[in-house]
Amino acid sequence: MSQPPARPDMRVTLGRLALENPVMVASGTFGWAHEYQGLVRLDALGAVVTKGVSLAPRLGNPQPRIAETPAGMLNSIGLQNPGLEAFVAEKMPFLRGLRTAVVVNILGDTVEEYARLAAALDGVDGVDALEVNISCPNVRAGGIAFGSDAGAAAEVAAAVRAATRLPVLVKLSPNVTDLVAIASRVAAAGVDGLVLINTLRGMAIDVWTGRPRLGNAIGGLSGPAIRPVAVRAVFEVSRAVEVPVVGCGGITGWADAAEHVRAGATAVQVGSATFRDPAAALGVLEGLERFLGELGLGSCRELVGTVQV
Amino acid sequence: MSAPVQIQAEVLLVEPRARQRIVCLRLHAPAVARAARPGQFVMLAPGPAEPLDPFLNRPFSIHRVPDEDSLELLFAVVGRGTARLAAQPPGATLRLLGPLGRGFDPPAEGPVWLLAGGLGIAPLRFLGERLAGRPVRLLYGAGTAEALVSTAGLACRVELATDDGTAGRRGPATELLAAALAELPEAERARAYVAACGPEPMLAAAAGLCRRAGVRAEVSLEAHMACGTGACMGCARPIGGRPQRVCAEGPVFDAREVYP
Repeated sequence: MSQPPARPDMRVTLGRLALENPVMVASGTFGWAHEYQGLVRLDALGAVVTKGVSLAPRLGNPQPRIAETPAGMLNSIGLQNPGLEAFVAEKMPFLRGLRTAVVVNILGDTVEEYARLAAALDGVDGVDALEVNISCPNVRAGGIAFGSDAGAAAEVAAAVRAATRLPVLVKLSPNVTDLVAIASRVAAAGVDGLVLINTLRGMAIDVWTGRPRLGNAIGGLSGPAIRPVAVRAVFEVSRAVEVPVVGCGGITGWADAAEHVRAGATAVQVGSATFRDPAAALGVLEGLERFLGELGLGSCRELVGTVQV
Repeated sequence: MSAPVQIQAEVLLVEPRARQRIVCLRLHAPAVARAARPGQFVMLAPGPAEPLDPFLNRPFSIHRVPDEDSLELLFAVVGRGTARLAAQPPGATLRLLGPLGRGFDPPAEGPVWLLAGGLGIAPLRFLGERLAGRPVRLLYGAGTAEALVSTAGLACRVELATDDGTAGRRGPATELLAAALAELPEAERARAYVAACGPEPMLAAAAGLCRRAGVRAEVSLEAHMACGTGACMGCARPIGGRPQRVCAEGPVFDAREVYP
């Protein structure tokens, strides 16, 4: 009698961050997780990445903030969040009760603000890692200003790294000329992983009114439309850096995640797909596990970077 | 408010409800229908089998709960998503999330006016049916008679208004409200209640009329939404001095908060 095949080992590590499985939910698409309580088995996720947290509260951008585009969407939320103090007081109690990793996305206007956020979150019970957002296309200061310059990006990464004992992921922007150069400098700053990619800058216009379809005119493009861009970014960067890469962009089903992993991603984030189906990330996880079993692989790690070029 | 659920809802019926491309979609959705309250909404996938394009779910007010197992949604066929939904045959299944948001909160007694502008009739029909037996009047305006949805079967007094005068009074529906409020005895004002849904200029005008008359009013707002669950902040806007999410804190708000 043959033994039933063992289930593939889905555990992954991103530097010092160990995850039960490689499927996370992306920042800004999952709120503070309690919004999906009862709809999604939260404890089954590899990690929850929170919406971006800044030192002071941010009100965000004018309406409309959402516009549907071919196989995707534009958003210009503008990093609306209650600020660090209210986040810790009001959002962390629920998050720390989850039996999944909690990754707090942080953003600042200055290098010092990033460092202060990192230091303040170091002592907060329930925070498992930080994700540094230097790639938001929707705010003037900060955000993408750091992510589009290799020196500035590395400076933020190093400052955060020095300010906290927590594992540090850095989420990079695709809106740059030389992503590999930026990724290499950030990796060299000693971070635990790179997350690729944030949204692509985009715009949509209502031709009848002649007005942009977003209140902020320009926003960030996400959804299936950007998946090839994300897969290319993961492929190029993962071959150039030593640190693990987390693939994010256009993942709605398990095959999309498998594509990212084959390209070189150690873990993945499911973003906009959650808006269609709150449980999309768990569907990705189940399908990926089944796929690994069909390939006869013992772990998800064995699939990483297996694209044959 | 009960927690929303996600189900595969079966299309029971798609039928025209006005001459101007307004259709009613009836879905078999017991868990949602039983929990739904007037003013709440659902997010509906724009087609069966998870299309990647169009990508996002559509928010729809619950128009009617004709029986405890089904829901009716009312919408105009204006774009790719609604065209696809209107073309679904009976038996097709669509992913449905709901009921979502905060609905109307009418007082336990006293006179009620429902002020509907255009497709703003969608949630107010449900509210009118739930308030059957009470002194309820529907004030219903649209651009033209062809855009009016039949109110047959709704057991309340109906007054119509159209911009072009092809049905009811010529002019905005808010003139119906102004006339109704003017007739309301002073002593009745504290007990009276107005529920409004429609274009924002109409809601703003109605809020002003109600404020001056000392009548409590609630308005149901529309917004572009991605998630419908409060996660994405796509529908948040300043209301009452702070950002509020139309999908989670609303879609029904106190009129004085929205239009101070």
